[in-house]
Amino acid sequence: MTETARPVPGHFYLWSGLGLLVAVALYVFWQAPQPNRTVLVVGGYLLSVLFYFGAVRYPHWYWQALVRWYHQLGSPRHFYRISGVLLPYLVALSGGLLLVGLIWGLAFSPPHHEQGNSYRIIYLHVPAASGAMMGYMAMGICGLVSLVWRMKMAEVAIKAIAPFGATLAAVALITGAIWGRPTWGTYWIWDARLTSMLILFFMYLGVMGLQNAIADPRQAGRAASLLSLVGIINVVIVRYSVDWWHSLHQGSSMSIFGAGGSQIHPSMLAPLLISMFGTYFLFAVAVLIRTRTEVLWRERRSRWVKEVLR
Amino acid sequence: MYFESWSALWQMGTHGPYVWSAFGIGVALIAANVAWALWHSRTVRADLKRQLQRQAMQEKP
Amino acid sequence: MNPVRKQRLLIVLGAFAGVALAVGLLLYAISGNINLFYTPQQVVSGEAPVGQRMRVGGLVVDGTVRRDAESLKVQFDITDGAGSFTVYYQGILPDLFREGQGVVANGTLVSQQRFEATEVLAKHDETYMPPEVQDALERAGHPAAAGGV
Repeated sequence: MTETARPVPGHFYLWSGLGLLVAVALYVFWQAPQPNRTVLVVGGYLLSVLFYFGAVRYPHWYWQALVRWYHQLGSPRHFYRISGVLLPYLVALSGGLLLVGLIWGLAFSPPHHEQGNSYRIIYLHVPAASGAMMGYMAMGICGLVSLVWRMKMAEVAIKAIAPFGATLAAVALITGAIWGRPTWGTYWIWDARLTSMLILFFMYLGVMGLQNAIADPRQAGRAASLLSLVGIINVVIVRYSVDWWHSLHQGSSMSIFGAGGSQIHPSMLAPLLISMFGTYFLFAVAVLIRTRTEVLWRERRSRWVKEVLR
Repeated sequence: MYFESWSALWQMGTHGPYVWSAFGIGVALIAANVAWALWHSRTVRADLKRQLQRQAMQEKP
Repeated sequence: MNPVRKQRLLIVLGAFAGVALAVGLLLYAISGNINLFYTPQQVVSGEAPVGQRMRVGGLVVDGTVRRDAESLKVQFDITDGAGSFTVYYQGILPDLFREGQGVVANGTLVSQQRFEATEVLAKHDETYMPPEVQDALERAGHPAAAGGV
């Protein structure tokens, strides 16, 4: 797979020009708010040009990088080494972001125009709920990889994601209930959003339970992978439940693609986004810790584990 | 700070109990989960180390 | 991709699409039961069954809230722009209950114009802004200052 750089062919200019026209048309006719539209259209255009240059014209480079990445992540030993380097930075990043975001939200951001101070629960509720959903998506993708490519590390990842995801789902449900009491007037109602979120929590518990209930690790891994993959449907339902049905829960306040954009004032959005990213990084920390433990245990007979433990 | 005093921050108008209990429970659950992961990692490492030492002892004589 | 994996990928994705389709059809079929409440339009058009326990939801119409001086009795109209009727309730209203705000009431639809509620919940919308910003918007007569469902 050796290929020297070739001159850019004429049809490259034709296609990128056409792409530019499409991007301009999208920009003009798309109803999304201007900042989102700008980022998405410009970013999308640049990415597609990069994709054309990289993946279409010079695919061998992309392919080699992808294969190397896949094998390094898939090899327990490399994973252990890389994650060990990454972990301290992730801990610092998530700790710093969460500290800033939560304290900013609790003490420095302004109150809500109608709810007063009770709305401050949002700074824990939304990061937890969104983390639980993103975590399940990641788990589902790992399920697909483990089912189709039989990649061992994907099974390990599922086992590592589930406990923290379940905790985040529980936190979202509990903080939501406490928030619901002063704002709605009730802790709980069987509304589409609340019910589907409860199901998400049970799906996480189900994945954890399957891994513990089935004695044969291969079968346990396969069953958990399947449940993870199928559960993605529920994540989609959680996300759109407030759009598809009448619910007591509010609609989405943040949308990247929709016409509304963010319905949250910047002074409240900034600490919310900071705590959301802090939660995502903390998720990564928890998953890496659990994956490293599991990898050590599974590979306990190999020489590299003995060297690591010495 | 938005609040004028520490007690105002604690009370949050009338919503103090809701906000602080939500944050207390939520942060405690998340912290407990991470602590559990760390504890598990430590016990597994200790177990494996002990096993390795036992093997080394058996191989020596 | 090697043929065994390709086949596995197709099987797995096919199964996933099948389950997704089944769930989608199921949700579509029972979507009436998933909706938490009937809208005023559904009540006025007769779609909501009279005489049964149910939830209704809509915006409290400005100037229709009447509180009884001696008891906790209260009545107000709710609307969704396409119809309206009166809700009768006895009890404590949630803090966020305001004219122009969204509410969800649980109770019995006595007639198409009369709903007797046993529970009233406040529904807030997805806007989050500080009080000063809302004041500024109200002074400027901006529509975003009004509450919504």
